[in-house]
Amino acid sequence: MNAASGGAPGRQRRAPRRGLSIVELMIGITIGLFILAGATVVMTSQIGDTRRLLLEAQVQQDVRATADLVARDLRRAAYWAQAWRNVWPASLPLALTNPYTTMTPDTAPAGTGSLVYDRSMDEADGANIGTDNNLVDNTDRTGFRYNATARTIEMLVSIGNWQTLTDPNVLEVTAFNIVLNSRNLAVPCADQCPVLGPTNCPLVQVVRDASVVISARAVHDQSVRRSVRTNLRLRNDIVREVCP
Amino acid sequence: MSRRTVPPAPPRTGMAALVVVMVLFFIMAMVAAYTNRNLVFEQRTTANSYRAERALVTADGGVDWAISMLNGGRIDINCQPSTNAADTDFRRRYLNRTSTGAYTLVGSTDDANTLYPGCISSAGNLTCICPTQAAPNPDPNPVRAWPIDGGGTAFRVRRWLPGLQTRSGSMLLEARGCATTGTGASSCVSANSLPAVDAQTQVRTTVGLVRAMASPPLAALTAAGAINAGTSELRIGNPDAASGLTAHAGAAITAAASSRYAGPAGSADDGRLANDAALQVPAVADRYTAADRLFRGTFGMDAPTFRRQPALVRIDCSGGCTTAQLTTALNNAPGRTLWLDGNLTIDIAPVTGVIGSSAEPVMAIVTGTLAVQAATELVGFVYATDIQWSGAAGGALVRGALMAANGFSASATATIRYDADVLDVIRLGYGSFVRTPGSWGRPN
Repeated sequence: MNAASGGAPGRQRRAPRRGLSIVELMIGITIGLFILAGATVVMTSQIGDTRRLLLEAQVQQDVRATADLVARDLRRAAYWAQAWRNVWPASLPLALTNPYTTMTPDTAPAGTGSLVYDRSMDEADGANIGTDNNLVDNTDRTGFRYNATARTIEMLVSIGNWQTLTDPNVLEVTAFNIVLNSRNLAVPCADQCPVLGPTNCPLVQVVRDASVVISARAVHDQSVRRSVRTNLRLRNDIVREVCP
Repeated sequence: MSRRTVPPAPPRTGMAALVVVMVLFFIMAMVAAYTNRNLVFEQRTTANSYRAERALVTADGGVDWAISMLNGGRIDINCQPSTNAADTDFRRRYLNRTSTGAYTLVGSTDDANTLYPGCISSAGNLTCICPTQAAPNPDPNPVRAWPIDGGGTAFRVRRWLPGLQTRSGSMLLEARGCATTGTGASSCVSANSLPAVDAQTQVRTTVGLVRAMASPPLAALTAAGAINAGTSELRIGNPDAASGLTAHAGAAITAAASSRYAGPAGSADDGRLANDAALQVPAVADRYTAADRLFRGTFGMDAPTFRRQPALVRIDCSGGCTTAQLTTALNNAPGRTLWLDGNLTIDIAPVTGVIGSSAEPVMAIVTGTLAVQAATELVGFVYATDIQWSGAAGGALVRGALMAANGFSASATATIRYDADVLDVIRLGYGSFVRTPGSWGRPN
């Protein structure tokens, strides 16, 4: 044996240690458990956040889509495809009146949960511009209402047929309110206005605006709440006879 | 000196670690994106909603712009005010008026070749084009600088016959609004039916003409007070059987015995009607106010409302206006009603010898006195508080009608000829376009 290698003569040399000692193993496991615990907390929180985010997105999307639908349709209330008949021609003594001006309620400054109104749909399905039978048909009348029992918002798609707009499995609508304001502006037509009614009263132009508010909460987590407000000007004014 | 030996550097092994770290970062980014996919979805939904609203607002702005242009004066190809007589106004550039007051469309009606006036709005600037028949396609337009950042909004306007038929004083406007402008032949203002823009929407509105003159006067010369020509002659003719009167006054009609009044052919008398109690001189305090019944009865609305009409051109004549101001206003705003606050003196004859024309007659309201002092021809209708005819005006001629809210006086021969055709041009074509209630809609 080479003396340089050391060791007492006759004594067997110890083999180098391999693997981990019990202490090292325990320290490693402890650190690993700490990391795992931290990761679990983070993951749990992340899953909770994701779930809540998903609920918020669902509620928000449903509420916004409904508000958008209400606003888009309400904006064109009283649309008349033959409004040109309202223009007083030189050759006719009377102008025709808009047959789609009905709105119930007529005005609601304090708000309403139900609104039914008319607008012409006779140009739908590719019909020519100006197609209109000047009658309030089945599809010309529409509206929106709050169903307090099912906690949903419904749309009148044809007379007597209400269709649910919001998904009751996802959200509960807690409030649906339409504030409808109207102002009467005098029509400056002096003494030469065409007579629109039998009483020959002054004409006014009714200018309307609405504010739609929808509040809802998630069915599976009622702490998730969302509210949307849409303000809009009803584009189609109404000209009507108002007796003093 | 001993030289210290440097041990060789160990081989570098960091590249693998870098790759591993990058892969881990990428995986983490994917996990984060996956976790926040709802947020991404929500942002996209919000962006879509924003673009849709932006397009709708722009389309509404397009309708408003078109209505204001219909009520404006002479414009060049970039829709800017013009004094060039070769330019037309927006109304005549795109609409032909028939004899009944209905409109037909100028140019082709097919999608690719119709005339599309429109504008792009970028960085606070509105750049518009009002193409003429000679240049039906607005693109490419060398004067337009397309926004290079893709920002801004744009709209184009199309005209339709309401209900696809002609209707007196009525026209359908369709505006396409875009959330971004697009460029070139695929821009929002081009004839392209599918422009390369973020979002587009269309709205339709019927516009109707509020007539400047609800009904024509019954006489060639009307005065709510007296008509007093003294010893001067009145030469008044009215060949129109529908109106029939030559001189119509709320008080006496005085003129030289040699005056000539010619009513419609076959009429029994000379068409003079004096001391008509239906004509009431408005009190001085009531003149051109809502209490002015004569004004209301003549124009179909009260004076303050009439004065606010968008198509009316208002001129300050507090220092007195002359032929020069009148002809300038007629040139810049053909076919518009003029409202002159003050006195108007026809002091000289214009170069053409005629003020107004049968196609574009004068329609003027003078809140002061109309003084005719030059031998010229005026075609149209003038309503003034007082009308005076004097001096060299003996050779003057008014073809159309005159009306005085107070009185008419003449110290020279006054020649007035009722022209039903001229008054029809005013009655059917002059006035302001306004939205027709109930007409706002969106194509399905």
